[in-house]
Amino acid sequence: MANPVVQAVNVTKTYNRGKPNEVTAVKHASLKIDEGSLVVLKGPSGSGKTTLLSLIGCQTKPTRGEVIIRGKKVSKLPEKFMNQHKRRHIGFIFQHFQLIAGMSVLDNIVLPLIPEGVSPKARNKRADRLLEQFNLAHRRQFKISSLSGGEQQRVAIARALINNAGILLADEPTAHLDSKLTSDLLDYIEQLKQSGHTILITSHDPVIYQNPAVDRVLEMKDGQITS
Amino acid sequence: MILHPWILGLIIGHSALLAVFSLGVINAWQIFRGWDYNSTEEKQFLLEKKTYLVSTVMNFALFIQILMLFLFEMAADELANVLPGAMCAVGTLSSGSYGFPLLNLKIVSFFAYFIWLMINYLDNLMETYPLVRRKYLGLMLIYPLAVVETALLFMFASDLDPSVITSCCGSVYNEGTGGLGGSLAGASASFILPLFFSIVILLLINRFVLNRRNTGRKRLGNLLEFPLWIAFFITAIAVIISFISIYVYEMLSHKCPFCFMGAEYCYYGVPLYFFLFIATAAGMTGGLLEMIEQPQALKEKAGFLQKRMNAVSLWSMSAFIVTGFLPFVIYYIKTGRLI
Repeated sequence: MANPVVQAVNVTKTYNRGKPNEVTAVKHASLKIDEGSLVVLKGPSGSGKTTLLSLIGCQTKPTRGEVIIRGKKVSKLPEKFMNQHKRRHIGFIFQHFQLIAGMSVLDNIVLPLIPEGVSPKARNKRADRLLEQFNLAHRRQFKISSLSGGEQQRVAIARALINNAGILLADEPTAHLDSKLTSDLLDYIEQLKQSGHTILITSHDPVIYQNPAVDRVLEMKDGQITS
Repeated sequence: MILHPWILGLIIGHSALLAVFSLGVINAWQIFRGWDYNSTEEKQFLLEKKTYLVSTVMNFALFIQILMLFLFEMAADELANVLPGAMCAVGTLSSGSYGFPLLNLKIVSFFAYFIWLMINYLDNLMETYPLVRRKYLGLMLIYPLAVVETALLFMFASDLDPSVITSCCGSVYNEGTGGLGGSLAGASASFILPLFFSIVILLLINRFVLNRRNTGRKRLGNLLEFPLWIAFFITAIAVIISFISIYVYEMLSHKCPFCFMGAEYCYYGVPLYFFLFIATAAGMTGGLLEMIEQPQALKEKAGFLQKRMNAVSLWSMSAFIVTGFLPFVIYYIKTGRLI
């Protein structure tokens, strides 16, 4: 029997509680993701995909319910322990990559290692390995602002992998990519799946959720997982 | 006198801290009452957020409260300039009925706040908030200290009258005067020094014999630390007044425990009291940490903190003894005789 590495149990997230603009983005959502599987969370814009991904990625805490990552109830942890758990177990690829434009490729990639207290030498060694893997070694000292969209995408993936996190979360990763870059991204994702990563992607792009490498597709509508 | 800048500063500081403390206690009560760590309901998540805020705010408020003890001493020393008859802080404190009770309460509060801060620090090291209910109960229990402190400060300030002649330290700490100050000043060195060093030796025996690993008496040893450090503090104050002060001032009749904190004596009393307070606070906390037994992860962290507290208390006690007896040694080397 496969081992669930990510679990959401009856999770609800309400923003602006008690205010006129109160909105419940996720309602009683429950899911289990097994080790090494590739799961896509699809649904229309505003259905709560990104909020659920943020909850699983320890970016925010639920209003109710429980998020369990590798057996630890992360939603119950104090902020500093939750961040620590996130840094060690989860890599996150944001929709707009969220790279720091004024910093170099190398500095962006090693950023998650700094709070972990990894020495500069060890940081650079790990980063160089990823720069080679993603064909970015020649851009090592380039500023993010001088990179193409595809290169920025690879930097974002490299940054998500720098902590050797086994769980990779990607929020609409193809939303701003052309068909060539989307195809490249799928190749990277397949490689990561083969290397044992557990991957959860939110997307409403059929190229993603109809890909044969995908193990499961979950659908969200109005904050609820419908299938 | 209430509009004197030092008094005004103290009153504003204490009132602001009391207001923060009061808000902290209201929230502490809500957390204490509603806390259920296993719940995944909205209320519990709100309390978890709240505990982080309250803990951070109270860390700041109690740290400043601790500093207020030293600020109060400085204020009392400065106010001596405007009170007829006062030579140092003692004159200010003895000019009304509330000065010394306020000082004594502030000393007690210092230790209570220090212990709470350490318990809070320990709780924040854990992932599961194991001490939340106990630490907030503790916060509610020490809250009256802050209330009474502020009330006494108001009474002390309104009681100060620059037209009334007050007592100087020479008369308060005089064996002929009577009262607690007089009794302490009159305590014989041949009685108080053996008593003080007996307690020091007891602390060392407790630390190095009972408290050693595998003796089977570690728990008893640690529990004994708390009363022993209280005894150490009280006898140390008596030694300062009846013995150390004589060699600092090099006068048999001057036994003030405040004058040597000033520039005239190169602020000699500042490190002396610093080491005394830190040794006592760390020693008492180390002893109390022995009472933490569950869960095991917390006990391990408490044990680690206890070792650090025990080390700090021992080193600070050594520094206090060296600093305290240095004037005596210097005087003896210089003159070859005792006072």
